[in-house]
Amino acid sequence: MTTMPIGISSLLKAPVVYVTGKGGVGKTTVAAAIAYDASRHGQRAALVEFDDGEAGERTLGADRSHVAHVVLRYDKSLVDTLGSILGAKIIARALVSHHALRRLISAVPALREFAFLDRVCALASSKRYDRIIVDLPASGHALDWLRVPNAFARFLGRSPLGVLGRRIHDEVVAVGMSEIVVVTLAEPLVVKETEQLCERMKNELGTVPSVVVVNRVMMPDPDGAWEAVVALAERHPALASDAKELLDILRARSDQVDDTEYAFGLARAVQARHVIRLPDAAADPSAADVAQWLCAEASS
Amino acid sequence: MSPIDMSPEGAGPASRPAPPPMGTRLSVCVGGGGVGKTTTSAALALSLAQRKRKTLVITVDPARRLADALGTEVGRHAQPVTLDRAGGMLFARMPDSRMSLDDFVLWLFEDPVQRQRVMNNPAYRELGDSLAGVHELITIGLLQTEIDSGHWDEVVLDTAPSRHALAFLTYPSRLLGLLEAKALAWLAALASTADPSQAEHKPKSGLFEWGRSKAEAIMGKIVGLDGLRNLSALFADMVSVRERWAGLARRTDHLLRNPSTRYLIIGAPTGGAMADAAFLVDNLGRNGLKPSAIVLNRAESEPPLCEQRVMQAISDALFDVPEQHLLALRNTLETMQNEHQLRGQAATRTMSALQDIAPAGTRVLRLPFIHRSEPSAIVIALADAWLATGSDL
Repeated sequence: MTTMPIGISSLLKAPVVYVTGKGGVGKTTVAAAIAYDASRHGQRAALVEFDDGEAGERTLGADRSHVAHVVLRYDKSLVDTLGSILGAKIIARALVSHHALRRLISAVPALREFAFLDRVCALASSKRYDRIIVDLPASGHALDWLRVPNAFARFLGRSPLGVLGRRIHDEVVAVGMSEIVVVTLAEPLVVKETEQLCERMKNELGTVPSVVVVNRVMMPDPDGAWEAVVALAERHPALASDAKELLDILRARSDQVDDTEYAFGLARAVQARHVIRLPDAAADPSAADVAQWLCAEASS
Repeated sequence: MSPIDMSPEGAGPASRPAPPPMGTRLSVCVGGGGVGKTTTSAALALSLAQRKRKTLVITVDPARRLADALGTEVGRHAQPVTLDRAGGMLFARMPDSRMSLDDFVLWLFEDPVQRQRVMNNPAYRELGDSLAGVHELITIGLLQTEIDSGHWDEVVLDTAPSRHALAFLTYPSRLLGLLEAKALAWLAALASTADPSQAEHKPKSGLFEWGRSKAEAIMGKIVGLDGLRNLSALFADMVSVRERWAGLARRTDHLLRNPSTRYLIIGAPTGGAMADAAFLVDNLGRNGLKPSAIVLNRAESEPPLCEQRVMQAISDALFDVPEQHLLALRNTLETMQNEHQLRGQAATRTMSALQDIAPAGTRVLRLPFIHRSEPSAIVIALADAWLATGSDL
């Protein structure tokens, strides 16, 4: 019997995992990789996306068969949620198909986020999956999402929607029931935004990310290259301007490496339990590749 | 006018579509996350300023790093960009979302009592950020104020880095739908439960009354009585200023459909960005619009010449440095060449895929990969690249 190396999913204990980060940092890829890793370790795993499953589809690619890919659509989620409040889906369906009432309902703030999280809650209580990995929208919005159930509970008190809000919060948002993975890049702009995200997470949700993934990390160039170019500039005036240009490029590269340290420093400052780095991959990596890299980093 | 006057003309003369002042051209930059859209938009704006066009870039820059790079500040007002190149012709406005939401409420409600009441409403306080369409509203509100000011030759709008950024395109018409539809009568009727002083305006027709009580019962069942009261109060306030919303929505709709308004889709050589670009082309098309250009950012073409020349100097044994340093440089240059090659291949692949999805008449442009790390250097280099595309961009 071969022993399975430790994977990213084993660093996460809660049944529901939210993955977020600034747009374009590779959230979906990391979410898909966690789901893939969980399934490889024998868990029944689902990757959840909202409204649009294109990114998950593309990342899971051929590995799809291992992971349940759940794409929640707003219209259906809303009917399901209202149905559970009103006691019958048929009433909910009639409600949302009524032109004026539909608009009226659409004017209730944050109902969209609420309905989606309610469906995540329903998935979790169905016990069909051991692991639910939720690909949340980008940073700022992600927090607005996770705040919504509690905000409903506070604002709507003992009304059905308020009670449901409390339940969603307790079952799939509260500390212990869920964990947050934040994906960032070794770029100052992105790290800064991640920092703000973690700060809000602490203030507004009272939690910190379990794992920070620093994606597309560049390896440092070997020592000595800089000195060689400086020597070249000094000794060969004809090449001086090329050397100067090359030094600018080398400086930009080493800045990027420094930015990795900046990203790591942030992850330590926010007290994330684990910090994992992912290499800079030229082409779009698959969920299986990323799971393997995450696995290697998690064990080291 | 009673708050439940439902006539489509009820919006009054203030809301008649006003054409944008002559000469202000709007460029809307859209694209998925991580393509460098904020930097690219700033560079486009800089290139316009370098052509002596008085330009404003409206951009969301939560990290304030771009603001620092441009020598400007994040704030409520347009700030001059102090880069020498800009020649005093470039300004930036970098709104903060919560601040903008409150500003929008300030703009919407002229009556200070009402304004305060809205800001104190628990529904607004708890969920204001998540109000359906609120980010779109903020965007169009800001945009309209700047266009109306008549200060600018060019306004460059950097939208949220998302596929869904285009939601603001349809927001004006959706808002008008909401404001002019029967739904408003329901909202207004519900509002009367919160504010009995408005009850006298309530239509007395039997069917409506029946519908109203049904709507109220169902909403009450979902959100509870307190919730209904707070939401209704918020609706009541919103309804009473709907002329202002409607006027704004109409003018923005007009602006977004104005033939001089340009849409630029920004992409990068990754599968995700490619899929986003295809999605955005399609989405614009469904709104009867076409991108003026699809721009591939970070498209590496030729590796920098300096690398090749230095590599050549090494192989010609042109210079004597410690063997160890030479080896390090050689390794570094090889790594870089490898990266250029991979990036170049990805750029070529994406470029041809973008050409396939570009509608007839849409140009596909490429902006180079900038081998620098300071944001100001990147913005300046990209502005040169915009100018070098030679198009009126």
